[in-house]
Amino acid sequence: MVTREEKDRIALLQGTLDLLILRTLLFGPQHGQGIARAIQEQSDDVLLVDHGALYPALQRLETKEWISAKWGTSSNNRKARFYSLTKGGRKQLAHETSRWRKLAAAIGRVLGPEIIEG
Amino acid sequence: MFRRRQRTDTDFSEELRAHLELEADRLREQGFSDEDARAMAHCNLGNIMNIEERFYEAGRWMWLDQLLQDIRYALRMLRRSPSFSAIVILTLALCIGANTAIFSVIDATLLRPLPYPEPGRLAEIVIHFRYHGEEADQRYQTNATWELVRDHATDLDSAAYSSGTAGVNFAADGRAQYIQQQRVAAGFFRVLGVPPMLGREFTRDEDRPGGPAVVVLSHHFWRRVFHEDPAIVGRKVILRGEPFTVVGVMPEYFRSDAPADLWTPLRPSNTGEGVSANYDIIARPKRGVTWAQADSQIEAIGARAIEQMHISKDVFARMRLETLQRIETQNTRLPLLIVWAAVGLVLLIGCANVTSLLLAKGSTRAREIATRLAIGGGRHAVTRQFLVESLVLAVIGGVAGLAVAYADLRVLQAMAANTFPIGDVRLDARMLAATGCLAIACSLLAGIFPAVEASGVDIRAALTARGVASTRKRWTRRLLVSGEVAVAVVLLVAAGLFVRTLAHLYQLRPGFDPTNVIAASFSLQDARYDTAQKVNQLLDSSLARMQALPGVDSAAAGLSLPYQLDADDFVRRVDGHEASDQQIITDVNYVTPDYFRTLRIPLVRGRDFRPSDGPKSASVAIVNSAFVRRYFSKQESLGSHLAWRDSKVEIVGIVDDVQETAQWGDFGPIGTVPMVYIPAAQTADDYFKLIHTWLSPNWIVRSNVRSETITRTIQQVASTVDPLLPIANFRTMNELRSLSLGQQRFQATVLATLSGLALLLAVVGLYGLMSQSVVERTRELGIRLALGSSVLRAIRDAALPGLTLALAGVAVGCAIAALSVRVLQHLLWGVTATDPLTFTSVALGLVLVAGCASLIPALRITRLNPADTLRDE
Repeated sequence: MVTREEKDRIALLQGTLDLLILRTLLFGPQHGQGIARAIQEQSDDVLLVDHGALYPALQRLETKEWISAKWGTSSNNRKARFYSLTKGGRKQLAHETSRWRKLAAAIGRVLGPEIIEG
Repeated sequence: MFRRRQRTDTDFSEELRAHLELEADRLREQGFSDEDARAMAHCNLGNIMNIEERFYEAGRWMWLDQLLQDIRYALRMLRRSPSFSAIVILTLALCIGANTAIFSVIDATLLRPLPYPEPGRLAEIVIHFRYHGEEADQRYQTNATWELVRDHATDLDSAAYSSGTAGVNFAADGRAQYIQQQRVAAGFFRVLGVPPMLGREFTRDEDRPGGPAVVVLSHHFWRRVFHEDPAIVGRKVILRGEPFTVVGVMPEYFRSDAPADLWTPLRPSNTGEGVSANYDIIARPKRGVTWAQADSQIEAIGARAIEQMHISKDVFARMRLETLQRIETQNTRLPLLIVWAAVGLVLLIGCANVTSLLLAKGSTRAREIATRLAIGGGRHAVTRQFLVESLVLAVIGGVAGLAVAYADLRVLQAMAANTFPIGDVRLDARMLAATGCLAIACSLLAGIFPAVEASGVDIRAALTARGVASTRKRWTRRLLVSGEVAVAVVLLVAAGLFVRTLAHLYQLRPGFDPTNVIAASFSLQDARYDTAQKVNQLLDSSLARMQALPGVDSAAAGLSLPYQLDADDFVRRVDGHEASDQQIITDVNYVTPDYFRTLRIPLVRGRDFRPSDGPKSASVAIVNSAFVRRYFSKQESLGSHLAWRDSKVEIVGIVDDVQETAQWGDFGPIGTVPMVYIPAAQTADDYFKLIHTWLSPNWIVRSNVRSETITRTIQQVASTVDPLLPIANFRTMNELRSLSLGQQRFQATVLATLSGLALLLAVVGLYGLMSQSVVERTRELGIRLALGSSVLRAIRDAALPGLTLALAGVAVGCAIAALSVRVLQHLLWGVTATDPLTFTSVALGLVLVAGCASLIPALRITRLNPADTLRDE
């Protein structure tokens, strides 16, 4: 299942996990393990989600009322806690997304064109 | 912000478990074995406990959590050393309790604003005198001054009144009672800002000599006597022997400067009492007028009033406004502040003791703390832990202190009843807040130093060495103990001076025989006794009956008795070398012929009054030795004449001095005051009327019968002579003395108690320090004994530091006391503020007690076995 070498994986930057969680939930309610898998898959396994950090992050977002949670049943009939985006969460996602895009673009400009090493 | 977390820990743990299942499912789908899938899921999640902890911390008020933990730990520590905890809590409870009690008295009397609207703008008009550095505010004014103020002080709303109350006779349903009346001018209640609850206050027309007889009732009197009858206004009541119309009832919360049952019009006049300074004037600057404006207007008006007084040129006098509160508390302020300072010092000693105990405790806990630090506990956590421990102690001490305060207040009130007004004192929310603040202040004061000290422990030294306390710590404890001794010395000196004052006053020669005499006082401010003839008829017939009673030696009547407050008046010497236009001030007392015989006041020269000294015979007077000493230095007093009011009286006798209370001069609480005795039979109508508005005369009976029996028979005689003349009270001469020395007794008792507590605390502190140091030096002393030092020498070496500390404390304390006793000067009698006897005995006493406190722990050395010490090495 591990398609890439461990060294190619990138640990998430501080603060980006929250953004990615919110983004993932845009497609509908999901449980913690599902969120982690979704982030990993959508990033072609580049981004490594530390499962240990995920749950405190979810709790943080829930406390801020950007996501809400309730217990439900997963596709393979397991009990799981499902998170969904709240109205405040959507607003936060939009805000954070544009901020992140600006930041990424700015850093890209600073770093200049990519130098491909042989 | 601190919203309670909805989610429980178990819910979170369950989610993590669900995650593991889901992840394992996914891994199994990818072809891993069941076992591997589970292991990998676990591995990816990491340390579950760590995640759970993060969840736990995020959701909680961590500080509260830690605080609760610290408190739990503190309580455990306290339980583990019960004697230490008990001593600390007891110390704090006593100190905090005493402070709360005294503070509540101070609060009720000095701090709380008077219960009137805008109390800060209520003023008393006073004349400020300054003469050779001495200053005084004279609050009493003549009617001439009052009229000037009333008619010209346009910036002020003002009213005259007579401060304090006088007993009067009140009759309802054929039953008479003695009640308290205060006389106030029209507008008195308006100036205070409290209108009557029912009816109205007095009008100008009612407040003039000969005006209609009207009365305003206090709420409690209205309730007690008239059962809150709403139709009371307009009803007639029998007061002072004549019908009065009730015009108003004051609300329940209202009080004037004295506990009055009712108020009657002052009726100020330019004759009688109005001639002398007998009125008080309250005033309130009118709306829109500032205090300063009103004050300068009063100064201008006062200049005219002062001009009429013909005061000597080198006296500076100025009329001014003083706040009413300050005037009402001018006699109680200084004594109460002294008591407050004393109780504050006791608290300081208590805190020093607790600090010392905590330091000692801290040094025995060095190992525990070092261990905590060594396994990664923060130094902050240790400081916090220590502070929480002292806070817990202070809170428990504070709660116990409330109980102590309650008991203290009971005692204070009982002690002060009738003699020393301490106001309406109760434990309320203000007191709870004060106690809370005190407890927290104590915990910080006593706890902060040991806490900082403890966290600074040297881990290596504490864990390896055998816990030898650092010398630095010892120095702080030594300083604290010396300080405690110094403060205790100051308090003991103050208490000693007050006790010596009281002892001096109690041992003053009474000048009469106080045993077997009962006095009964009654009011003659009564329409039925408005002439001298009627008064004398009452006295003659009642005394004749009393004299005839079995067991009665003699009976007499007089306006005032020894120890009681006398009336004063002016007389003039009209013949001989010392004849002068100068008025001389003296106490004046009217008496019946057997007065001196009944009290056994010795006649020094001349003759006693006789029944034949009647209204038609020549006017005579008897003076006391103090009068002769003061006013007749060059000529024979016997046979001289005095001009007194409208008559010329001949001095026919001289009697010995008795202890009196004077309103003038510098005689102290009681003293031998110049006195002129006048026969009751020769006293004029208007003097009787004047004097009876202030003072209640007394019957005095000397008998060999038990006092309960004699009071009953006096009561019977009084009710046969006049059934509507109630007896105010029965008093023995010793009771009269106690009443007049109430303030001195209060001061001496409170200060003695507080200084006793201070001494106890200081000695306990010293003893504690010395015991600990002997314990700590056991090894050293043991080695010294083993090396051949004598036991005596070792004891001396162990005890000496304590004695040195005490001596230093005593020296510093004596110096501070010598500098600060000046404050007490005006409250001392028969003893100077720097009384050598007091200072010496306090110093010697303390050194003696301190010597014992240091010697007793040192004596433990005798039980020391040098061999054990060496084996220990």
